[in-house]
Amino acid sequence: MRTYRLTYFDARGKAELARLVFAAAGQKFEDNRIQKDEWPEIKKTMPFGQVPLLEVDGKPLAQSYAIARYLAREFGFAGSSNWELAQIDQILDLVDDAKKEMLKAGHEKDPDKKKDLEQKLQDEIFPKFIGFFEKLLKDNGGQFFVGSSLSLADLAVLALFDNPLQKNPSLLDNSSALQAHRKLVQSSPKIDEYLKTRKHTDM
Amino acid sequence: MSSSKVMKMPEYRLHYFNGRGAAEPARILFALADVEYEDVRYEREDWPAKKPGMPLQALPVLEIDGKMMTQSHAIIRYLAREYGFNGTDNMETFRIDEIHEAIVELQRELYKFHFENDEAKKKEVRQSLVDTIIPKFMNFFERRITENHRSGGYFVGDGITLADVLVYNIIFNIEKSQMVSLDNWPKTAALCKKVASHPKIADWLKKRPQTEF
Repeated sequence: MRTYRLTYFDARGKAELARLVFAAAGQKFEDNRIQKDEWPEIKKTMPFGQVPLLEVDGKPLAQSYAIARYLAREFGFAGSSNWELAQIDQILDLVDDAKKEMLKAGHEKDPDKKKDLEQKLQDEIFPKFIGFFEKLLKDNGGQFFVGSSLSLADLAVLALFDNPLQKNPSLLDNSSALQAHRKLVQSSPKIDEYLKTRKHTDM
Repeated sequence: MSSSKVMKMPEYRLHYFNGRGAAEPARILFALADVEYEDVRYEREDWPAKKPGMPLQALPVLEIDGKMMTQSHAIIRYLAREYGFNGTDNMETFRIDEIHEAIVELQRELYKFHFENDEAKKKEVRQSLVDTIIPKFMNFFERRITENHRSGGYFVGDGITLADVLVYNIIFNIEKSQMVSLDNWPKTAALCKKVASHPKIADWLKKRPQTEF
Protein backbone atom coordinates (compact mmCIF):
# COMPACT_ATOMS: atom_id res chain seq x y z
CA MET A 1 0.00 0.00 0.00
CA ARG A 2 1.25 3.45 -0.84
CA THR A 3 1.36 6.08 1.86
CA TYR A 4 0.41 9.67 1.19
CA ARG A 5 1.22 12.68 3.32
CA LEU A 6 -0.07 16.11 2.35
CA THR A 7 1.54 19.11 4.03
CA TYR A 8 -0.20 22.47 3.96
CA PHE A 9 -1.35 25.27 6.23
CA ASP A 10 -4.37 24.72 8.48
CA ALA A 11 -6.69 25.86 5.70
CA ARG A 12 -8.47 24.69 2.55
CA GLY A 13 -6.52 26.96 0.18
CA LYS A 14 -4.34 25.33 -2.43
CA ALA A 15 -4.47 21.89 -0.81
CA GLU A 16 -8.22 21.38 -0.79
CA LEU A 17 -8.48 20.05 -4.32
CA ALA A 18 -6.00 17.26 -3.48
CA ARG A 19 -7.92 16.52 -0.26
CA LEU A 20 -11.15 16.28 -2.23
CA VAL A 21 -9.59 13.82 -4.68
CA PHE A 22 -8.42 11.69 -1.76
CA ALA A 23 -11.93 11.88 -0.30
CA ALA A 24 -13.63 10.97 -3.59
CA ALA A 25 -11.25 8.02 -4.00
CA GLY A 26 -11.78 6.87 -0.42
CA GLN A 27 -8.00 6.94 -0.07
CA LYS A 28 -6.47 7.49 3.37
CA PHE A 29 -3.76 10.13 3.64
CA GLU A 30 -2.01 12.01 6.41
CA ASP A 31 -3.42 15.53 6.46
CA ASN A 32 -0.43 17.35 7.89
CA ARG A 33 -1.65 20.86 8.78
CA ILE A 34 1.05 23.22 9.92
CA GLN A 35 0.53 26.27 12.09
CA LYS A 36 1.79 29.73 11.12
CA ASP A 37 4.47 29.78 13.82
CA GLU A 38 5.92 26.48 12.59
CA TRP A 39 6.14 27.69 9.00
CA PRO A 40 9.51 29.50 8.96
CA GLU A 41 11.28 26.31 10.07
CA ILE A 42 9.31 24.00 7.80
CA LYS A 43 9.73 26.37 4.82
CA LYS A 44 13.46 25.63 4.78
CA THR A 45 12.78 21.93 4.24
CA MET A 46 10.32 22.40 1.34
CA PRO A 47 11.62 21.87 -2.24
CA PHE A 48 10.68 25.39 -3.38
CA GLY A 49 9.99 26.88 0.03
CA GLN A 50 6.32 26.36 -0.75
CA VAL A 51 3.35 24.24 0.25
CA PRO A 52 1.33 22.22 -0.58
CA LEU A 53 3.69 19.30 -0.65
CA LEU A 54 2.59 15.75 -1.30
CA GLU A 55 4.82 12.91 -0.24
CA VAL A 56 4.17 9.60 -1.96
CA ASP A 57 6.02 6.88 -0.04
CA GLY A 58 8.30 9.65 1.17
CA LYS A 59 8.99 11.11 -2.29
CA PRO A 60 8.10 14.81 -2.43
CA LEU A 61 5.86 16.34 -5.10
CA ALA A 62 5.19 20.09 -5.23
CA GLN A 63 2.87 22.47 -7.13
CA SER A 64 -0.82 22.29 -6.26
CA TYR A 65 -2.35 21.62 -9.68
CA ALA A 66 0.38 19.17 -10.67
CA ILE A 67 -0.38 17.29 -7.43
CA ALA A 68 -4.14 17.34 -8.04
CA ARG A 69 -3.69 16.14 -11.63
CA TYR A 70 -1.36 13.36 -10.48
CA LEU A 71 -3.90 12.13 -7.94
CA ALA A 72 -6.79 12.45 -10.38
CA ARG A 73 -4.97 10.27 -12.91
CA GLU A 74 -4.01 7.82 -10.18
CA PHE A 75 -7.56 7.38 -8.88
CA GLY A 76 -9.59 7.68 -12.07
CA PHE A 77 -10.96 11.22 -11.99
CA ALA A 78 -9.10 12.36 -15.10
CA GLY A 79 -11.61 11.49 -17.82
CA SER A 80 -11.68 8.55 -20.16
CA SER A 81 -10.09 10.04 -23.29
CA ASN A 82 -7.68 12.76 -24.31
CA TRP A 83 -10.64 14.91 -25.30
CA GLU A 84 -12.28 14.52 -21.87
CA LEU A 85 -9.01 15.29 -20.16
CA ALA A 86 -8.71 18.45 -22.26
CA GLN A 87 -12.18 19.49 -21.12
CA ILE A 88 -11.15 18.90 -17.51
CA ASP A 89 -7.98 20.96 -18.03
CA GLN A 90 -10.03 23.72 -19.64
CA ILE A 91 -12.16 23.94 -16.51
CA LEU A 92 -9.15 23.84 -14.17
CA ASP A 93 -7.66 26.77 -16.07
CA LEU A 94 -10.95 28.65 -15.87
CA VAL A 95 -11.09 28.01 -12.12
CA ASP A 96 -7.56 29.35 -11.84
CA ASP A 97 -8.53 32.47 -13.85
CA ALA A 98 -11.36 33.09 -11.39
CA LYS A 99 -9.04 32.57 -8.42
CA LYS A 100 -6.58 35.09 -9.82
CA GLU A 101 -9.36 37.68 -9.88
CA MET A 102 -10.31 36.84 -6.29
CA LEU A 103 -6.69 37.17 -5.19
CA LYS A 104 -6.46 40.68 -6.65
CA ALA A 105 -9.07 41.79 -4.12
CA GLY A 106 -7.59 39.62 -1.39
CA HIS A 107 -4.11 41.07 -1.76
CA GLU A 108 -5.09 44.74 -2.13
CA LYS A 109 -3.89 46.70 0.90
CA ASP A 110 -5.61 50.03 0.21
CA PRO A 111 -9.09 49.76 1.82
CA ASP A 112 -10.85 51.90 -0.83
CA LYS A 113 -9.34 50.01 -3.72
CA LYS A 114 -10.09 46.72 -1.97
CA LYS A 115 -13.74 47.69 -1.64
CA ASP A 116 -13.89 48.58 -5.33
CA LEU A 117 -12.30 45.28 -6.33
CA GLU A 118 -14.69 43.34 -4.11
CA GLN A 119 -17.65 45.16 -5.61
CA LYS A 120 -16.33 44.38 -9.09
CA LEU A 121 -16.09 40.72 -8.14
CA GLN A 122 -19.75 40.62 -7.12
CA ASP A 123 -21.07 42.78 -9.98
CA GLU A 124 -18.98 41.64 -12.92
CA ILE A 125 -16.51 38.89 -12.35
CA PHE A 126 -18.53 36.25 -10.51
CA PRO A 127 -21.51 36.61 -12.86
CA LYS A 128 -19.16 36.24 -15.85
CA PHE A 129 -17.56 33.07 -14.51
CA ILE A 130 -20.85 31.64 -13.27
CA GLY A 131 -22.15 32.14 -16.83
CA PHE A 132 -19.18 30.28 -18.29
CA PHE A 133 -19.53 27.40 -15.84
CA GLU A 134 -23.28 27.15 -16.45
CA LYS A 135 -22.77 26.94 -20.17
CA LEU A 136 -20.11 24.22 -19.84
CA LEU A 137 -22.38 22.27 -17.53
CA LYS A 138 -25.39 22.57 -19.84
CA ASP A 139 -23.31 21.64 -22.90
CA ASN A 140 -22.43 18.40 -21.14
CA GLY A 141 -25.99 17.52 -20.21
CA GLY A 142 -26.24 19.38 -16.90
CA GLN A 143 -24.99 16.83 -14.40
CA PHE A 144 -21.22 16.67 -14.40
CA PHE A 145 -18.79 19.00 -16.13
CA VAL A 146 -17.09 16.31 -18.17
CA GLY A 147 -18.29 12.87 -19.24
CA SER A 148 -20.92 11.11 -17.17
CA SER A 149 -19.18 10.80 -13.84
CA LEU A 150 -17.32 12.79 -11.22
CA SER A 151 -13.99 14.24 -12.33
CA LEU A 152 -11.36 16.65 -11.13
CA ALA A 153 -13.29 19.42 -12.90
CA ASP A 154 -16.33 18.96 -10.63
CA LEU A 155 -14.16 19.01 -7.52
CA ALA A 156 -12.28 22.12 -8.67
CA VAL A 157 -15.49 24.09 -9.24
CA LEU A 158 -16.88 22.89 -5.90
CA ALA A 159 -13.75 24.09 -4.08
CA LEU A 160 -13.63 27.37 -6.01
CA PHE A 161 -16.94 28.58 -4.62
CA ASP A 162 -16.25 27.61 -0.99
CA ASN A 163 -14.66 30.95 -0.10
CA PRO A 164 -16.99 33.31 -1.98
CA LEU A 165 -20.03 31.44 -0.63
CA GLN A 166 -18.70 31.80 2.89
CA LYS A 167 -18.70 35.57 2.31
CA ASN A 168 -21.88 35.78 0.28
CA PRO A 169 -24.19 32.77 0.80
CA SER A 170 -26.59 33.99 -1.90
CA LEU A 171 -23.91 34.10 -4.61
CA LEU A 172 -25.34 31.16 -6.56
CA ASP A 173 -29.00 31.95 -5.93
CA ASN A 174 -29.56 32.84 -9.57
CA SER A 175 -27.78 29.81 -10.90
CA SER A 176 -29.91 26.74 -10.41
CA ALA A 177 -27.55 24.72 -12.61
CA LEU A 178 -24.51 25.39 -10.43
CA GLN A 179 -26.52 24.89 -7.24
CA ALA A 180 -27.73 21.52 -8.47
CA HIS A 181 -24.18 20.58 -9.45
CA ARG A 182 -22.89 21.57 -6.02
CA LYS A 183 -25.52 19.45 -4.32
CA LEU A 184 -24.84 16.50 -6.58
CA VAL A 185 -21.11 16.55 -5.83
CA GLN A 186 -21.51 17.25 -2.12
CA SER A 187 -24.01 14.46 -1.66
CA SER A 188 -21.96 11.70 -3.26
CA PRO A 189 -21.35 9.36 -0.30
CA LYS A 190 -17.58 9.69 0.12
CA ILE A 191 -17.51 13.44 -0.40
CA ASP A 192 -20.45 13.85 1.96
CA GLU A 193 -18.59 11.97 4.66
CA TYR A 194 -15.47 14.06 4.12
CA LEU A 195 -17.29 17.40 4.17
CA LYS A 196 -19.07 16.48 7.39
CA THR A 197 -15.83 15.79 9.18
CA ARG A 198 -13.69 18.43 7.48
CA LYS A 199 -12.17 20.96 9.82
CA HIS A 200 -13.80 24.35 9.49
CA THR A 201 -11.35 27.09 8.51
CA ASP A 202 -11.80 30.63 7.20
CA MET A 203 -10.05 29.97 3.93
CA MET B 1 -5.74 7.69 -25.23
CA SER B 2 -5.44 8.83 -28.85
CA SER B 3 -8.30 8.42 -31.24
CA SER B 4 -6.68 5.61 -33.16
CA LYS B 5 -9.95 4.36 -34.61
CA VAL B 6 -10.23 7.51 -36.65
CA MET B 7 -7.96 7.13 -39.65
CA LYS B 8 -8.44 10.64 -40.95
CA MET B 9 -6.26 13.32 -39.39
CA PRO B 10 -8.32 15.85 -37.49
CA GLU B 11 -8.63 19.28 -38.99
CA TYR B 12 -6.98 21.78 -36.69
CA ARG B 13 -7.40 25.51 -36.74
CA LEU B 14 -5.52 27.54 -34.12
CA HIS B 15 -6.97 31.01 -33.54
CA TYR B 16 -4.76 33.64 -31.95
CA PHE B 17 -3.41 37.14 -32.36
CA ASN B 18 -0.52 37.79 -34.72
CA GLY B 19 2.08 37.03 -32.06
CA ARG B 20 3.81 34.17 -30.29
CA GLY B 21 2.18 34.82 -26.91
CA ALA B 22 0.05 32.10 -25.40
CA ALA B 23 -0.26 30.19 -28.67
CA GLU B 24 3.38 29.58 -29.48
CA PRO B 25 3.90 26.37 -27.44
CA ALA B 26 0.98 24.84 -29.37
CA ARG B 27 2.54 25.92 -32.67
CA ILE B 28 5.89 24.42 -31.65
CA LEU B 29 4.14 21.16 -30.70
CA PHE B 30 2.41 21.06 -34.08
CA ALA B 31 5.79 21.57 -35.75
CA LEU B 32 7.45 18.91 -33.59
CA ALA B 33 4.68 16.40 -34.30
CA ASP B 34 4.72 17.34 -37.99
CA VAL B 35 0.98 17.89 -37.95
CA GLU B 36 -0.75 20.28 -40.31
CA TYR B 37 -2.96 23.03 -38.94
CA GLU B 38 -4.29 26.38 -39.98
CA ASP B 39 -2.46 29.16 -38.14
CA VAL B 40 -5.22 31.80 -37.99
CA ARG B 41 -3.81 35.15 -36.82
CA TYR B 42 -5.98 38.14 -35.93
CA GLU B 43 -4.84 41.73 -36.01
CA ARG B 44 -5.86 43.77 -32.96
CA GLU B 45 -8.37 45.82 -34.95
CA ASP B 46 -10.18 42.68 -36.17
CA TRP B 47 -10.56 41.20 -32.71
CA PRO B 48 -13.64 43.05 -31.39
CA ALA B 49 -15.70 41.65 -34.27
CA LYS B 50 -14.45 38.09 -33.70
CA LYS B 51 -14.58 38.14 -29.90
CA PRO B 52 -18.29 37.30 -29.42
CA GLY B 53 -17.85 34.15 -31.54
CA MET B 54 -15.25 32.69 -29.19
CA PRO B 55 -16.48 30.46 -26.32
CA LEU B 56 -14.84 32.46 -23.50
CA GLN B 57 -14.41 35.62 -25.57
CA ALA B 58 -10.69 34.98 -25.37
CA LEU B 59 -7.81 33.57 -27.44
CA PRO B 60 -6.21 31.18 -28.12
CA VAL B 61 -8.87 28.78 -29.31
CA LEU B 62 -8.06 25.46 -30.93
CA GLU B 63 -10.70 24.20 -33.31
CA ILE B 64 -10.64 20.44 -33.79
CA ASP B 65 -12.97 19.28 -36.55
CA GLY B 66 -15.13 22.29 -35.74
CA LYS B 67 -15.15 21.74 -31.96
CA MET B 68 -13.80 24.75 -30.09
CA MET B 69 -11.31 24.20 -27.30
CA THR B 70 -10.33 27.11 -25.04
CA GLN B 71 -7.55 27.84 -22.51
CA SER B 72 -3.99 27.85 -23.77
CA HIS B 73 -2.64 25.42 -21.19
CA ALA B 74 -5.44 22.90 -21.70
CA ILE B 75 -4.80 23.09 -25.45
CA ILE B 76 -1.07 22.55 -25.01
CA ARG B 77 -1.62 19.55 -22.74
CA TYR B 78 -4.11 18.06 -25.17
CA LEU B 79 -1.65 18.26 -28.07
CA ALA B 80 1.22 16.95 -25.93
CA ARG B 81 -0.84 13.90 -24.97
CA GLU B 82 -2.15 13.38 -28.48
CA TYR B 83 1.32 13.33 -30.05
CA GLY B 84 3.32 11.65 -27.28
CA PHE B 85 5.16 14.52 -25.60
CA ASN B 86 3.58 14.17 -22.18
CA GLY B 87 5.66 11.44 -20.51
CA THR B 88 5.20 7.69 -20.42
CA ASP B 89 3.81 7.18 -16.90
CA ASN B 90 1.96 9.13 -14.21
CA MET B 91 5.19 10.26 -12.51
CA GLU B 92 6.77 11.49 -15.75
CA THR B 93 3.61 13.40 -16.52
CA PHE B 94 3.73 14.86 -13.02
CA ARG B 95 7.28 16.12 -13.64
CA ILE B 96 6.13 17.77 -16.87
CA ASP B 97 3.13 19.33 -15.07
CA GLU B 98 5.45 20.61 -12.37
CA ILE B 99 7.58 22.45 -14.93
CA HIS B 100 4.38 23.63 -16.63
CA GLU B 101 3.12 25.21 -13.41
CA ALA B 102 6.45 26.85 -12.77
CA ILE B 103 6.22 28.35 -16.26
CA VAL B 104 2.73 29.67 -15.51
CA GLU B 105 4.05 31.32 -12.34
CA LEU B 106 7.04 32.83 -14.12
CA GLN B 107 4.81 34.05 -16.95
CA ARG B 108 2.59 35.75 -14.39
CA GLU B 109 5.64 37.59 -13.02
CA LEU B 110 6.69 38.63 -16.54
CA TYR B 111 3.20 39.99 -17.24
CA LYS B 112 3.55 42.26 -14.23
CA PHE B 113 6.49 43.85 -16.04
CA HIS B 114 4.89 44.02 -19.47
CA PHE B 115 1.62 45.47 -18.23
CA GLU B 116 3.09 48.03 -15.83
CA ASN B 117 2.63 51.52 -17.25
CA ASP B 118 4.34 53.55 -14.55
CA GLU B 119 7.96 53.93 -15.70
CA ALA B 120 9.51 53.99 -12.22
CA LYS B 121 7.57 50.94 -11.08
CA LYS B 122 8.36 49.13 -14.32
CA LYS B 123 12.06 49.62 -13.65
CA GLU B 124 11.63 48.22 -10.15
CA VAL B 125 9.71 45.18 -11.37
CA ARG B 126 12.37 44.54 -14.01
CA GLN B 127 15.11 44.70 -11.41
CA SER B 128 13.43 42.18 -9.15
CA LEU B 129 12.86 39.88 -12.15
CA VAL B 130 16.52 40.05 -13.14
CA ASP B 131 17.95 39.82 -9.62
CA THR B 132 15.63 37.38 -7.90
CA ILE B 133 12.70 35.91 -9.74
CA ILE B 134 14.22 34.72 -13.01
CA PRO B 135 17.31 33.21 -11.28
CA LYS B 136 15.02 31.34 -8.87
CA PHE B 137 13.22 29.66 -11.75
CA MET B 138 16.44 29.11 -13.71
CA ASN B 139 17.95 27.35 -10.70
CA PHE B 140 14.89 25.16 -10.50
CA PHE B 141 15.09 24.24 -14.20
CA GLU B 142 18.80 23.50 -13.90
CA ARG B 143 18.19 21.30 -10.88
CA ARG B 144 15.44 19.31 -12.54
CA ILE B 145 17.55 18.65 -15.65
CA THR B 146 20.43 17.55 -13.40
CA GLU B 147 18.15 15.21 -11.45
CA ASN B 148 17.02 13.41 -14.59
CA HIS B 149 19.51 10.57 -14.80
CA ARG B 150 18.52 9.46 -18.27
CA SER B 151 20.82 10.52 -21.07
CA GLY B 152 20.10 13.44 -23.34
CA GLY B 153 19.89 16.35 -20.93
CA TYR B 154 16.09 16.71 -21.08
CA PHE B 155 13.68 17.33 -18.22
CA VAL B 156 11.96 13.96 -18.39
CA GLY B 157 13.04 10.65 -19.92
CA ASP B 158 15.52 10.68 -22.77
CA GLY B 159 13.62 12.67 -25.36
CA ILE B 160 11.90 15.98 -25.94
CA THR B 161 8.64 16.60 -24.05
CA LEU B 162 6.26 19.47 -23.43
CA ALA B 163 8.45 20.56 -20.49
CA ASP B 164 11.41 21.19 -22.80
CA VAL B 165 9.27 23.07 -25.31
CA LEU B 166 7.79 25.32 -22.61
CA VAL B 167 11.12 26.19 -21.05
CA TYR B 168 12.71 26.85 -24.44
CA ASN B 169 9.80 29.11 -25.38
CA ILE B 170 9.76 31.23 -22.23
CA ILE B 171 13.55 31.62 -22.23
CA PHE B 172 13.39 32.75 -25.85
CA ASN B 173 11.08 35.56 -24.72
CA ILE B 174 13.14 36.45 -21.64
CA GLU B 175 16.34 36.57 -23.68
CA LYS B 176 14.61 38.77 -26.22
CA SER B 177 13.88 41.31 -23.50
CA GLN B 178 17.48 40.93 -22.29
CA MET B 179 16.61 39.93 -18.76
CA VAL B 180 18.80 36.85 -18.54
CA SER B 181 22.11 35.53 -19.73
CA LEU B 182 22.25 31.74 -19.70
CA ASP B 183 25.93 31.50 -18.70
CA ASN B 184 25.12 30.53 -15.13
CA TRP B 185 22.80 27.71 -16.17
CA PRO B 186 24.72 25.56 -18.66
CA LYS B 187 22.33 22.60 -18.64
CA THR B 188 19.33 24.81 -19.30
CA ALA B 189 21.28 26.62 -22.02
CA ALA B 190 22.17 23.30 -23.66
CA LEU B 191 18.56 22.17 -23.45
CA CYS B 192 17.32 25.32 -25.18
CA LYS B 193 19.88 24.83 -27.94
CA LYS B 194 18.79 21.24 -28.39
CA VAL B 195 15.12 22.17 -28.66
CA ALA B 196 15.85 24.96 -31.14
CA SER B 197 18.00 22.72 -33.30
CA HIS B 198 15.55 19.82 -33.49
CA PRO B 199 15.05 19.64 -37.27
CA LYS B 200 11.25 20.04 -37.19
CA ILE B 201 11.37 22.87 -34.67
CA ALA B 202 14.31 24.60 -36.39
CA ASP B 203 12.27 24.56 -39.56
CA TRP B 204 9.35 26.27 -37.81
CA LEU B 205 11.56 28.83 -36.07
CA LYS B 206 13.01 29.81 -39.44
CA LYS B 207 9.68 30.32 -41.13
CA ARG B 208 7.48 31.63 -38.31
CA PRO B 209 6.37 35.27 -38.59
CA GLN B 210 8.66 37.60 -36.69
CA THR B 211 6.59 39.43 -34.08
CA GLU B 212 7.50 41.41 -31.01
CA PHE B 213 5.54 39.27 -28.54
